[in-house]
Amino acid sequence: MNPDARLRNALAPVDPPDGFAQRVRARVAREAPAMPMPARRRVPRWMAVAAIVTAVLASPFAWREYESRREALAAKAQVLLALQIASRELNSAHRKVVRPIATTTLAPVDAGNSGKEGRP
Amino acid sequence: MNAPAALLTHPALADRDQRLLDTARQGDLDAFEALVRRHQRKVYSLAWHGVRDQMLAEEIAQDVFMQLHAALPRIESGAHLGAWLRRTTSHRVIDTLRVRKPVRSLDQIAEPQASNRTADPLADRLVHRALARLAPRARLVVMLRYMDDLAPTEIADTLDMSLNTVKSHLRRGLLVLRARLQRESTR
Repeated sequence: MNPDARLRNALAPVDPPDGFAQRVRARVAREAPAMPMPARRRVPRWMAVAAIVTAVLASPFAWREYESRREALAAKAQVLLALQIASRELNSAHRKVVRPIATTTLAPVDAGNSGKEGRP
Repeated sequence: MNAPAALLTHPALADRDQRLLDTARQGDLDAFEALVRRHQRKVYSLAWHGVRDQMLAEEIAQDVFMQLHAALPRIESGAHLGAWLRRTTSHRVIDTLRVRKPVRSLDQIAEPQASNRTADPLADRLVHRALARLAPRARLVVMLRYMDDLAPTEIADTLDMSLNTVKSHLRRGLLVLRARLQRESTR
């Protein structure tokens, strides 16, 4: 027999001892951690990179939007404050205008009556 | 061509492997055991012919399948599975041979069950004694060539070697084997 044939013959496939597959299964059940998440369900790397790039590019716009909204709120607060002040001023002016009229219309009657009644 | 290697590349069997892989990835142990049954002979044979020790060969084969279980999400296809098993087993055998010293004479080792053997145990032992004289990587090169009928390029891929190294291992290995076999037969 030539050496090649002898080699092939000597290296013929051999069966593992009986129960090999069951022993492997038992070992897997005993030692293996829970199966990792299937590759399909993992977030692809390109998707994560795209999300980061989008966030970086969009952040100036988001910041500008936030700033303008903050300025609008500050302006609104100022307008409200101005209205409050104007309202207070108007109230006080109204009080000043209304009170003297009330006192001038009542005073002569009172004085006349008291004057006549007071004379001998 | 050697029957198991030819069968493993058959498209229908690769499809069956693919279906079992898909199910085993979901954590189905029945599917994983079916995969083990389909490939145990190939893995165990490589381990047994490499180390010539039943206990050690079973330990290596079991470890390879444990590694396979952990690597299931990375195995892309049935064809990939066959190549992955061959590669992992080969490297595991080389690592074992590097750290292990032969504890018994090859004559004392019981032959395992071989299904299609035309059996000349004495001739087989002569071949294995000659193989045992080769360095671990050279031994694996010769084994992959004659067990699985792999082409030198495939052996180079499996063992992470250059094509020239594989060819030189094959040439030298066969010279050593031929010389030894000739010497034994003329005694």
